[in-house]
This record gives sequence, C-alpha cells and structure tokens, in this order.
Amino acid sequence: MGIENSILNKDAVESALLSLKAIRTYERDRRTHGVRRVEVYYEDIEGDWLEKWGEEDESESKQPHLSN
Amino acid sequence: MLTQRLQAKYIKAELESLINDALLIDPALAKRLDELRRWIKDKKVGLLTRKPLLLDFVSELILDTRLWLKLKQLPSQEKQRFLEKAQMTQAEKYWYEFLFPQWFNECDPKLDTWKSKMMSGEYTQQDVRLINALSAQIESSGGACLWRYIIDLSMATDLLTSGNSDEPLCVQMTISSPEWLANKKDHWEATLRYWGITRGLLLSVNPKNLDDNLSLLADAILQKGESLPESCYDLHIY
Repeated sequence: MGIENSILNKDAVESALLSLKAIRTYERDRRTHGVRRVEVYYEDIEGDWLEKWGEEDESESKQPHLSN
Repeated sequence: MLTQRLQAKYIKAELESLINDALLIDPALAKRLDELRRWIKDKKVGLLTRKPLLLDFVSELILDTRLWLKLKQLPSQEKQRFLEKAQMTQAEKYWYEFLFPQWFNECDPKLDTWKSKMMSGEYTQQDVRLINALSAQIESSGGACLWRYIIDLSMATDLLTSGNSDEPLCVQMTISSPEWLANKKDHWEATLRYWGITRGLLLSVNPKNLDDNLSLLADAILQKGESLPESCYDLHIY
C-alpha cells in the first residue's frame, strides 16, 4: 500500500467518525426536542417539498410516451 | 449554537444521491431506499399532514446509511482504527453490524403496516417522552441505549440497550391487559425471531405509576441485560 492510499484511508476513518458524530447528535436531539428535532435543521417543513416530490421523475417517465 | 437551517426540498436529492452511492456498494440497501423513495412519491397526497414525521424518518435513515456505507468501504485495518477511536456502545455495534443490514437484506413483513400507520396518523409517538426519560435513566446507571424508527416500527423494539460488556437487549414496553398479554408476547417473540434477534425483554407496565418508578425500571432492564441468557424472550410484569 502506497503513501496515497495511506493518506486517503486515514481520511476515510475521519470521515466515518464524523458520520457517527452526526447520527449521535441527531439521536441526542430527539432526547432534547422529541419529535420536533427536525425543526432544528429544516426551515420549511410545512412547505411544498412533499407536493413536489417526484415531479421531475414524472416528466421523465412521460417522455417515452411522447415519442411513441 | 445557531446553524443555517436546510431547505426541506433538498432531502429528496440527498436521498437520490444516497441511492446511487449505495447501488455500487450494496444493491440490497439501494433497493430498500428506492422502495421508500417510490412509496413517498406515490403516496405523497396521503402523507401531506405527516411532513415533519416523514422528514425526521428520512433524515435519520440518511444519516444511518451514510455511516454504514463508509464503514462498509473501510479496509479491515482502518475499520479497527475506527472502532478504537469511535468507542461505540454494544447497542450501536449491534445496530450497524447486524440489525440495520438485516433490515435491508430481508423482506420486511411490517413495512406495509407501518407505511399505512404513518399515513393514517396512527403512528403518534406518544411514548417519546417516556422512552427519552427511561433512556436518560439507563445511561445515568451506566448503560447505553439506541432508538431508531426502523427498530420501533419493524422490529417490535422500543429501545435497544446494552450494559458494560453484555450482549444487547431488545426492550419492548406494553400496556396490554393480562388477558391479551400471552397473545402479545407470541407476536412480539415471532417478530424478534424473524429478524434473528436472540435477546428480548417484554415489559408489561402500568402507565399510572411509571413516571415515579423510572429508575427502578431502568435498573430492572440493566439487571435483566446482565442476567438473561444469550438466547431468551423474557416477559417481565412490572
């Protein structure tokens, strides 16, 4: 294993530790805020994000029909 | 500390990018995530009143998946270094090494039930305060706890607990009346067995005196965690 891999693997460990820290924090947020923990991280929870979920997919899936 | 809050609309792109990443590393995980993505797309009208719950669930799933994918890609020597630095609890190890991959590798028989419970508003999480208080109590007595939507909804487990060196224990609380308790236990045990969970504790509790006795309940859970055999599905009437 060369120097490059050694450096990159070190970064990969650090990166995994950061991901662990993130999920631990999110779990801890549930203790503090209960089911409202999402409000700490998102600003427009009741916005139209869900209504728009899949809009692009639908237009994509319609394309083949147009060409038929 | 104030952080810049995210726009909720980005969660869809984040989930999609995660599905793409997972596809190269574990197709079964990608498939389960895509199944949920498509469910949200198809049922979004029915879910409109459940936006905070859905966002919370998907966020938790994204965070868990990101970590799991990174761990999966670590060469064994680096995985060892990660474990030394991370000081994961037994409950965390059990979740990432066993239960989470079990969930996406196996068919989830409860998936349809909990999807419809989420949509109908039946999934209210009224017990969140109790579970939080109990978790804090268990931790102050030296134990560790883990809660996830998936273990709650699919694996009949309110809390995954572990002590200092023991095997983790899947704890479920119930307020079933005595005549329904045997039936409740059968279903609970069957669910745990299905997922390959070998240590479970079903606690029959009386909600009226629960708040005053949380520390006793936490001690009972930890004590059971240490004393129960490697394979058992124990009912404890508290």
